[in-house]
Amino acid sequence: MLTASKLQVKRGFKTVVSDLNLDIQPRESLGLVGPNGAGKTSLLLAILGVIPSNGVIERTFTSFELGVVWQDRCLPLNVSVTSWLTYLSGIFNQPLDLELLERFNIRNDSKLIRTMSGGEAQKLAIVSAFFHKPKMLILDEPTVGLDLHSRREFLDLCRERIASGASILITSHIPSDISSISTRITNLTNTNHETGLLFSTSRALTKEELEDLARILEISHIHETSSGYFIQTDKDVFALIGNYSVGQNFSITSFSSL
Amino acid sequence: MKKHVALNHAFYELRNILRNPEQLLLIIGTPTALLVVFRDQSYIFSLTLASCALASSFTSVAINTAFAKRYGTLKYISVTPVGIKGLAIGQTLVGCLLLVFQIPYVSILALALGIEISLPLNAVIAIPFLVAIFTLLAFNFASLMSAEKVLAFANITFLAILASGFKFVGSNYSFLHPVSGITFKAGISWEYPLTLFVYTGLMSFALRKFFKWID
Repeated sequence: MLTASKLQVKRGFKTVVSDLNLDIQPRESLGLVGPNGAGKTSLLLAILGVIPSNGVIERTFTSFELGVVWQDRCLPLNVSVTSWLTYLSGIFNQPLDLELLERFNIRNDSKLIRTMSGGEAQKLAIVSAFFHKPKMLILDEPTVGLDLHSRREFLDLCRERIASGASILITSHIPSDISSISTRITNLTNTNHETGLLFSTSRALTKEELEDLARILEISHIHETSSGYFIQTDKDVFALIGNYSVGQNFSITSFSSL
Repeated sequence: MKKHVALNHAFYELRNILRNPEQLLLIIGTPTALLVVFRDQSYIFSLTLASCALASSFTSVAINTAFAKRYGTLKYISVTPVGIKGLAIGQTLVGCLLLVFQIPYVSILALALGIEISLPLNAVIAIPFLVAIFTLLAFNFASLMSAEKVLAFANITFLAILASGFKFVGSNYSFLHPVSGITFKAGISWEYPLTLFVYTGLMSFALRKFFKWID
């Protein structure tokens, strides 16, 4: 669906992504992780052609087969929900998915988008991206502001769409969101952009604990990100981390093996 | 690009304009004020029509697009089937549709005020080009500048073009003459529509080459 090779993205004079390769096949979901400023959103903008980039990007989907949830939602503020959904339905030439609206409790009425709460607007952004059943979904921190029920619905929806053949590229700072729907994860803080292992814990680990754990796992360091901890390794280290957590009185709250 | 995309975008924008009291004031209030205040001025009918085209296809478009870029709506549209072509064609259609409403309104008001009206065929043919030029120019403005700068520049440009219409109408030379003259002065020659066609091409090229969806 989407292939990028030797991708370089600049914002102003700063190179935010360099020499990145990624490939997403149908029915596959790739999670992008990294701290704030790692270049996740810039990468998505470049992939979508919103900003220029160097390298090769190949897309096998058209704009009619694409759904995007932006980090800042980007919905028009002075437009009613009905006007917005009618507009999208018209340009994608697809009827509104009433079941989807009901699922996210979005009322197709004359309420102005600017009067919606953050969570409501986020749900509208999700419905706007998913209603036409796109083959490719690009989701930039899609669960921000969602309540627990809506978050679960969203993750279920993603899994359903993957099962029906869609591909997803998702960024999130919530490790469990990434790990629950991603078949692979790429960490943008890693200079080689290779895949690894992501986990989060019930409490923040101290510097000494991270050094201890790295020594136990026989790796040079554990990368700390805002979404958890990232380890670049091809070994099965879950049991080792689990054993260490028991002795140090913390638990692993989410874990994604690549 | 599929036709229904540009049409849908045009109707969406038109609906938004018609629901906005400030936009309605610009569409109705400006030509009314011009006709009433400058009723004794030569070519006021043509000048008023030019101001309608300018206000709805340049000033409003530049300001709205700049703020749409600021708040990310433009970024949203960039990845939909609308794209830059749909945006430009749709907005040009909006400008033309507004003129379809404005021309009869201005004509009736002018007649009621005892102003001589004239709209030659070449001017009618040139109107879509005129609207396209102003729309594309507006997008270029909005793309290259911050929203605040666009707000200032779009209004200054609007006034400058109007003023040039007053100053140069009837004369043989003006930088803006090919754009403004076509609607300002009745019965001008066919070279103006051709010039407008060239201007439209140049603006389209600039838009495709330099347009930025985000700051």
